[in-house]
Amino acid sequence: MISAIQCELKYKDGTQALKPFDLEIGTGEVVVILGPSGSGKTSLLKLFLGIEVPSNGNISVLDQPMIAGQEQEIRKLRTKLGPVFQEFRLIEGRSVLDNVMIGLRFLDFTHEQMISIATEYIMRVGLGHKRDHTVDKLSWGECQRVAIARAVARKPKLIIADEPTGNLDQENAINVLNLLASFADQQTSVVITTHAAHLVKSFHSTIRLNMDEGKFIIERSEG
Amino acid sequence: MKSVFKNLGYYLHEVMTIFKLNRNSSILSIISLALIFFIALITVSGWFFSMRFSQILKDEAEVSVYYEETLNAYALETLIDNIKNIDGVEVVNKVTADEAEYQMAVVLGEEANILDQFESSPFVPYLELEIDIKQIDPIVTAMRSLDHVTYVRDNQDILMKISSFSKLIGVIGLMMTLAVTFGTFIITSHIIREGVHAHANQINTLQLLGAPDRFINTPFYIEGIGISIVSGLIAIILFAFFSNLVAMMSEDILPFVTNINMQTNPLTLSAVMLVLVVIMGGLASAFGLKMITQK
Repeated sequence: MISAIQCELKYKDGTQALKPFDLEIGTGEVVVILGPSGSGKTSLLKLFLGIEVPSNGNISVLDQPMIAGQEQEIRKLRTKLGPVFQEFRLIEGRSVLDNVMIGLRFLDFTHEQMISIATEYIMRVGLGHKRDHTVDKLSWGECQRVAIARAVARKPKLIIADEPTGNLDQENAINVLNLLASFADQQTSVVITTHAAHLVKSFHSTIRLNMDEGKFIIERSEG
Repeated sequence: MKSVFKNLGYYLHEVMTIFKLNRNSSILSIISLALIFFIALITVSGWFFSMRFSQILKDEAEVSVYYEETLNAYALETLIDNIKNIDGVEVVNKVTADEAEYQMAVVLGEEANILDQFESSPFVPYLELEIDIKQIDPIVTAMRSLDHVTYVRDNQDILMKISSFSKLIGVIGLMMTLAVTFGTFIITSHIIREGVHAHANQINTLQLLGAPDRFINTPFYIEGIGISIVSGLIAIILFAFFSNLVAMMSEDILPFVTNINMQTNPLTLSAVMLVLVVIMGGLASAFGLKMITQK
């Protein structure tokens, strides 16, 4: 699913975002990436999404090498990914249904299929009663659920969620993590970043990133 | 194409949102473009009109040949035969003194009664030649060398002036067309860039979701082309009023020019204009999107 060998990310201004690391994430895994703010979690997800490409080493996602000059291929790859952004990135002024459908519009679905699939996932995240509400009127937690529904409705092979527990109380945070994890199956892996280590004890697999003292550590533990 | 129809509702909704976000700017842009297109229509139609006007005058290019009044009928026929043999002379008509007076009366219109003030008719018979305007110089030279010819009058100077005026209008038309093209490009691409700026986050989100550029750009193309079409239609309506007004006024101004239609065919002009604005709107949208994505 994801394979990185001596992958390193250095920004143009010289900031070392990620020191060389090796990583393997298999199909159907639920992986939680832990680390304090600034440890490189978001940078790692940027590599997964192809927003950044490694300055050294290699990383491939679903067999697509994330390298410069492959922008169109990376764009195509993203249709197989289900990103849940930290700031949600919902389209203002649009309904919950529209926001979930937006991730399906350029895929191979008919209009009726899009409505049916989007409705199904809106119900799965518990927002069926707000399907036609504009997202501007939703609470923080509801917006997050819309973002999750948008990500998973396209049946991605890899769900990538950046800090989905931020600003949530413990109970809601655990609910969100469980919800995301529930979408993992034989074809879909889930990668979640969070700084809240205490929330992820029940997860199958955990990768801890630590940039302390300039060292980038990956600790993988089977849950 | 299938995906365009599938997402047509979404695209149109997006276009309306983009338009609403930049409502004032978009409305002002439509007005500006409409006025630019209107000026372009006036210039282009003025150009065509002047060319047509010039051509009609050229088609009616005439040379008047005056001869000795004492010439008998046989000598006159001989002179006519000699004139007909000159290259470029197409028709030779005899005009009597009475016919010459009548022609002048027609030109003078209501002022024709001034001719009654003459004690004796100032008009003399002459020969009226229809010629190939390109050969006017050798024709006039040859004519002057003929026996019994007293005076040759041609309207070469005025024809040349009209021809030069047509060329001038043509150059102005070309410059205006270029200015209009650039103006439309700049305004439309600016609107598109504003729209893209206002939707930067949304566009970025779509890119991260893997949306192809075609999907992301289509609403902006529709907006650019739509604004151009609306502006073009306004310009055509304005021009229809304008050309009708000019046509009515020109009936009194140019009574001596026959067979000239001051009104350009509105359907043809509208069709040409709309095709051009669609192309221009599309190109300008592409340019605006290109500029913004290169950044």
